Amino acid sequence: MIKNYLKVAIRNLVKYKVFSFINVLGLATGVAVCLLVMLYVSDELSWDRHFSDSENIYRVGLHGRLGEQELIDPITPPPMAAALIAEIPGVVSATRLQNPGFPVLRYEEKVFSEEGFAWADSNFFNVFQLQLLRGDPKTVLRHPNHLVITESVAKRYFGDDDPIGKVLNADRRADYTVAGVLADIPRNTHFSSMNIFLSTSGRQGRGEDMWVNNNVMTYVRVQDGITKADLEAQMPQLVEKYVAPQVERFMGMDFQQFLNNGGLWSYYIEPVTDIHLKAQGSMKIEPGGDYTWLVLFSVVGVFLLMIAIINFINMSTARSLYRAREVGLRKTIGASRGQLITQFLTESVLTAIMAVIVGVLMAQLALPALREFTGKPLQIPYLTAGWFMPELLLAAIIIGILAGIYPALVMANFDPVKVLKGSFHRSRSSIVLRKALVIFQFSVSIVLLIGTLVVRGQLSYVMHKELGFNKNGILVVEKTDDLQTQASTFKEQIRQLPGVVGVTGNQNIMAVQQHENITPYNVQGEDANQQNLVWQKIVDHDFADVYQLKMKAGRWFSRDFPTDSGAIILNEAAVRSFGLDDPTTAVLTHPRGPNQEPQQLPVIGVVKDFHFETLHEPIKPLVFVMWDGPYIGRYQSIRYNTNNFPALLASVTTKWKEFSNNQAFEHFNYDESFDNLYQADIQTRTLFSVFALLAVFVASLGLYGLAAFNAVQRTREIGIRKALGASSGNIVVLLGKEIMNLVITSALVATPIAWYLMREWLAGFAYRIQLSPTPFLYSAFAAIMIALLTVSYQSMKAAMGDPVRALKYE
Amino acid sequence: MIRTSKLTKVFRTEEVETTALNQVDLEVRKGEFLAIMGPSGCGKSTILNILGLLDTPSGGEFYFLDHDILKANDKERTALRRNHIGFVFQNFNLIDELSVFENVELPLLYQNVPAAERKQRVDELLGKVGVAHRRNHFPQHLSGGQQQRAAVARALVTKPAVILADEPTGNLDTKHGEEVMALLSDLNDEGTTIVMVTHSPEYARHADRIVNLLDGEIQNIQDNGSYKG
Repeated sequence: MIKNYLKVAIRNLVKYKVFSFINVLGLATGVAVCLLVMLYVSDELSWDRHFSDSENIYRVGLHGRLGEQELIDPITPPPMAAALIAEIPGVVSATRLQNPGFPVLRYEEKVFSEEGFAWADSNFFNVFQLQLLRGDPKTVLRHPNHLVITESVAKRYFGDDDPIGKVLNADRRADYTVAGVLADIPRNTHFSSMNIFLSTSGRQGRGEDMWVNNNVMTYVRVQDGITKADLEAQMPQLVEKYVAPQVERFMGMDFQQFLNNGGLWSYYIEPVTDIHLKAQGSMKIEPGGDYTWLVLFSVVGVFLLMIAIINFINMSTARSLYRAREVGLRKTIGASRGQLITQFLTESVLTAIMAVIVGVLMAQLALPALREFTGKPLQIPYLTAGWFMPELLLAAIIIGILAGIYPALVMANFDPVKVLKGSFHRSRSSIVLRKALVIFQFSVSIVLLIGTLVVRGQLSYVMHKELGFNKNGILVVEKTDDLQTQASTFKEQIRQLPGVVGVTGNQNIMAVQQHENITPYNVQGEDANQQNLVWQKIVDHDFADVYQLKMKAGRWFSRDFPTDSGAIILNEAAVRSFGLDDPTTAVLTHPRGPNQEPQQLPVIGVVKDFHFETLHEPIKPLVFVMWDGPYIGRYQSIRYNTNNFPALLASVTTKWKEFSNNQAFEHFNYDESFDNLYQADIQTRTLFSVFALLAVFVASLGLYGLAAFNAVQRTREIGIRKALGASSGNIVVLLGKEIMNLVITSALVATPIAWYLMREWLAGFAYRIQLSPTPFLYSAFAAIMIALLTVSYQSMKAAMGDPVRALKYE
Repeated sequence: MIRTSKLTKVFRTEEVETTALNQVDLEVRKGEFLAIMGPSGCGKSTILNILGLLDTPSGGEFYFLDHDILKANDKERTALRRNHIGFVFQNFNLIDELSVFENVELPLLYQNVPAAERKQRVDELLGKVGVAHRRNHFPQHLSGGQQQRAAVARALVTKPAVILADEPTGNLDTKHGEEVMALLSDLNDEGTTIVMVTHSPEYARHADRIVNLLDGEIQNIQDNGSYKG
């Protein structure tokens, strides 16, 4: 029997080629998208799950509020780890990680600036059980100045030589001995960019007991059964016991008063497995994923498959009329309902299997693009995962049944007497359902179209908004800190190069590299409990010139005023934040100056507000402080005004070689890096565009198929209308009107959904476009045009038909 | 073998009620060739559909092989139809996607007959109706007469108690019509019970009895005296 079902199924697939093609292509597109989304999602969800006992590892973070500013970041004070072990029941161990910057390491002729350099406690590899190729995890980080490096780093410095016992010099200051080699850290680890771990032993004494310094990451491993909530419940007692006295001592504030003024000082706990997707705060060892978008795009992937399944349902029910006679006949000669349903499901499952095969091929073809797009080495696990092939088959069967069950039930219910007599007409309910399904398809498509337009609009706004400084024409040379005392000479000589207008040394690169420090100030003479958290930027005399900031009042730091090293400059937001009427006469107090004493700093100027972060963030209060050391900076920013950039780059490179002692020349163009900050948003834009395109494509496929059947079904009606005097034009309008109504209804359904989603997305930007009706109207119009174009061929064909033949039909 | 008493069929739509059959008493005897005649709309097809268990009567009594059909459910009716009734239609109703052989084989598939027996029975019948040489062709490649002979073979393949033929010659020219009628006569001579609806008095003469139907009621029954029992 099953053989007969298959035979009929295959012959039907071959006979109705257009129908089969549309179904297979549509479903295959849905399958391919779902498969790719699934690969991406399962990769994103795999982060940090490879640690044994990963569900028992947590990270501690700080949630504080001072004045108007709130701070949420995974940073903690150095004594936190020891206190957790000593005082919180259920904590098995606690360990710390700190990324102090990137030293330049040397071994013989090999010189590299190391970005993945971290300090780690001796029990780090007990909490995170990474594969240690050399060395004992229990002791390897116990000795001062001992290093654990990854295999790749070992290869880079020592080639095939045994790395154990080799000495690496850091910044020409300290010597570190390699004591262990780690297998390269799995890509799906939230600190996978770390590749050199230095023992924290012997570093005690540097603020090890300071609870008000938040500069290390603290991780804990707990006993089974201890939850995040259990840990969080214990944190207030630590604040009370340790933090409160130090706030009073070092910041000059009464802690109770601080709380009464609306201040907050608390610690939160996050599971290590949540860090990649749901980490709180903006400070990250490396960029995380976005859980909301992960969910959203999974939903869109499933919707796409649903659109394709709907095509199948719609066309099968539309086509069922063609098969009515066959059904009637099979019933007449004794087929039961069950047998008929089985037969039709065999056909839909067979179609689905073909679609899955084609879909996997399509996914394979699209995989390189996805790898490039996501930067993930994704693979389709054909044979590497035993469950994959059976799962695909199961998916095909489920898709086949979902797509086939409704048409099968409809057809199995046909009354043989009626269908064999030919007095059989499509039922009202199936037409209503078909319309509802088309509306669903087009609603999804239109939501995605609107999303595409809004995201494009916002990104274009973001890219072109006046930033308050000039991001173009700046070349940044990285990792110049190893030049040390020669840095000033290097800077001066670069300044003399043709085409160079100015050079400024920077500790970090605005918006691009690391965030600004946050520090409390209050207005001199005002209550010390009224401190305000502000962002602080350490600069040299040339910063404002190179980045072309605009002064609002007063002046920038000048070499003509030696006292400027004790002065500060504010932005407008800071002026507002402190409530200063006459800022250039004001003096601010920093609670803890160089000698742990309050320090008084006169304001000498105000710069106009500028975007020192992306447009996702509002412009925050910012204080500029002069760097008073002999040299500044990990970076030199070079403003140039030459059209011959290659020549400039070449001359800077030559200069670098004179000074750098073999260190590699690393550089970037500021504007490119700045634009790259919107990478995630650009990815969102691409995803929206691709999904919108695919949704429209699959929905149009379905509409085309449906129009073909519709035109045939209405041949007689069209014939009668023409016999009564309707022109071909009238007929095209008649057929088009129905589609128009459906698409307009879809637009009405899509509008509020898209409006809500886009408002949510735009809320992620402090500076954003207003949602106007334009993208909504454009999308609806585009959908209508696409739909009309899709059905026009069929409508024309039906309208041009010979009415005599049409009337004879049946 | 088939017996109806006061058999009534009423079609109802929202506004109109049409009586298609009114108090029909009819008996079909084993081995009999019965023809039903009458003008369009007289209820010929309705009675054939009811006799074929495709349609249910609105009232009266109806016994098929001693089963009370008014009390039978859909599953029982399907089983009776599958095992005891063969249909021949005016427009042949062969399935386009199946070859001649597969069309004839289909009822046996629904009866779960083993493959070897299916092949033997189908080939035997195809030979008998004279289309063995077209067994692997698809219906659209056959002449009307050949199609109808294949359809007769399909009706016969389950060895049904009765063949119900609805204007079997209606779509055929005279020559092919004669061929099919001759085939049905031969089958009847060999003992197959046949109930045939027809417009043609010419072909009705092949029958043992002719039932004349008008407006859903039996006007009269002509007996040609040829029934041998």
